[in-house]
Amino acid sequence: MTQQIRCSSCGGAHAVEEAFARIFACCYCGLVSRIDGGSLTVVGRSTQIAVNQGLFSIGMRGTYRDESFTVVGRIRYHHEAGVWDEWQLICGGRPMWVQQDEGRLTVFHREEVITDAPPFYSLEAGKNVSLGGSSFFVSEIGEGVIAALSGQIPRDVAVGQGFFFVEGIGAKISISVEYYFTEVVLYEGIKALPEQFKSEPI
Amino acid sequence: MIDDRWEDQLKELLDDGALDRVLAVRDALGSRAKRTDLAPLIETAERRKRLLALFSVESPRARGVSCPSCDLKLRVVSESSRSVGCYGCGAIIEIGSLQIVGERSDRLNQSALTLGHRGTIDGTSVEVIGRVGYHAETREYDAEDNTYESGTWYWEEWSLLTSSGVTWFLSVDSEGYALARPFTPATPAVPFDYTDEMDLAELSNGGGMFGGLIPQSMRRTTRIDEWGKARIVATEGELSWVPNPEEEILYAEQRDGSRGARGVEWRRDSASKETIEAEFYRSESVSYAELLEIFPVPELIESHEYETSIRRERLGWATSFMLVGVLLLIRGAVWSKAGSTIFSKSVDLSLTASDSGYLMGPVGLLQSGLIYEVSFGASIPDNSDVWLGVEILDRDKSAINAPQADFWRESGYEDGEHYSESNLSAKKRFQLQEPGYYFLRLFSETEPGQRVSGTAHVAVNEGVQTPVLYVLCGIVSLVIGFVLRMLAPQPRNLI
Repeated sequence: MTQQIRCSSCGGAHAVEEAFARIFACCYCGLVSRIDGGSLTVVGRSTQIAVNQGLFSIGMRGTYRDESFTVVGRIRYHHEAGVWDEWQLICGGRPMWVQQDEGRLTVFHREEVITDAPPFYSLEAGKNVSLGGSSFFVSEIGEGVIAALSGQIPRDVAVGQGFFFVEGIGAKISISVEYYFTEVVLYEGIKALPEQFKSEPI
Repeated sequence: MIDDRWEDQLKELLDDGALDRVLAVRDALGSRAKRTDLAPLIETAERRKRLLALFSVESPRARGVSCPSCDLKLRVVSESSRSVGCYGCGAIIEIGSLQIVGERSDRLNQSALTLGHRGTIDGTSVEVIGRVGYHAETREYDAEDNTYESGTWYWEEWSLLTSSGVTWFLSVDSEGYALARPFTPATPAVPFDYTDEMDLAELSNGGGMFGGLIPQSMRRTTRIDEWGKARIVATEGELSWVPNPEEEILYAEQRDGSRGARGVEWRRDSASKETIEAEFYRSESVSYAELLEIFPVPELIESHEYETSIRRERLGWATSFMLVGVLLLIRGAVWSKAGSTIFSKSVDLSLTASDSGYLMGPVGLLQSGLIYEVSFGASIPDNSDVWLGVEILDRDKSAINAPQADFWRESGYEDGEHYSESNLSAKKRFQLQEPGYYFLRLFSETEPGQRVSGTAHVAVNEGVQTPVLYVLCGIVSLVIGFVLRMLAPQPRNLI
């Protein structure tokens, strides 16, 4: 039987799709709770992201590269030039992030805290940077902030959490580096096409 | 006392998203906040607060936008749109803040394509959501001189939102249409550090900056065909950014096959001039006919088909005239002929010297549409001359034509050089009004007191063809063809 989370504010029931979820943002009322073991601790509230007719929605199921996926969470980011979304998918039993930026998709399947990142302020878009022995073309730099949350998120996140980011293109992979004050996180992924995500009829 | 622990705590708060707690520290510190090492962290919190408020989390598509100037409800199609132009009052509105950030310009060209038009590209549905007019200072490679020529250029780009939320761009300029789509090159690079004082010779000669050209592979570099900097001069509809007339967009492009190009656009921070974003695109030329397949607007198709049919018709006529002209010229050049001889006779000149002349015939001239030629002449001794006349007589012996000519033969010595000159034959062409049997009467006359011995010849040829007429008609036909071709109207490009 599928385990359920019940929002302590509105009572809304949600099936637990992400076994290692750390944050739960109620899709109905926006209450954000931290999941500690079996209990929920309220940590804040998120503005609800409007449900749109886009590619993904929380709870959506489908297949990607012949593996079943379920969309379990979403983070909306703001940056100076616009917004982007990151969707948390459980695909083939494994979690992965799908970044959706102006319709363009990147599937991030690996994340790692790195210690050898060059200082953020030394980076410039249009140049190459060396990370972990590989060279990457920096396509964009900026500062982002989490503007809203929805669903189940497998890491500690909060509205207002911010970072400096670097988007890069390497040999057949895309990277995203998030510079926090206390750590630097490298995400590795690949570009994807919308048609690779086939939704199942509800 | 402010020490490192404060700094570490503020960093943790920032990483946790506790912006309000950082700002509370700022408020508690008052003026001291700006004089400590905490200042950059507090500024970060303030900046992130501003970022949070920059956009609405709610979908603009779901809620629409009310124009703050005229209160018109504006439809917003794309989730990524950051600005929208009001079609009522012309205000350009930042969607998140609902601030007016500009106003409509009349610079955009009239077009039959309008916002909201839907089409299909390679099976993908697209909707026209916006348009931008760019003015650029360009440098275009000139292969003849191996240099870059400076110039200015204006073009417009329609934003086409695909069903999956990606924006493609349809650019329109005086040279035609091109469809640009974002792509990720295998080895991305921004070609050079753009400076206004860039050494063109260095570029054209493959200097150091070539090392970073948009390469097809890292193994070789390729030439940039065009580069420059552009500014936005007009917008309408939705854009995924807020138009800033001051912002310079740098670009470089290289041709990719006969119809394509690939390029990179990069933006710099207006203050630091450091590049903050680089985007790559691949574009392909699109003909007007292909564009109508993408956007099958019935009125445009009807108009295009009508104008195409007129052009086709004119070109058809032009081609026909030119073909006929060429054929006539060929015929005139190689196909002139003397016709067939239907009558020939030689007569002693003495028999033609009387007033009644020498009557011959009847000769059957039976083809009304053909040209006949009577050729006549004389075989006379050296240094003599004779006048010959030929009357062509109908059945009633009435002359219908009477060609005549002087014939002579002369030779001798002049300045010790021998010379010999003569004129011994003549021709006259005619066409019959009425075919039938005709007679020929041959007259001859010599200088008084002179008697010339010799022979007169007369012949009639039927079906003679002259090249002059063909050449003349051929040239006229070619001229008409060329004029028709020049006057054939090009179907108008209404997009």
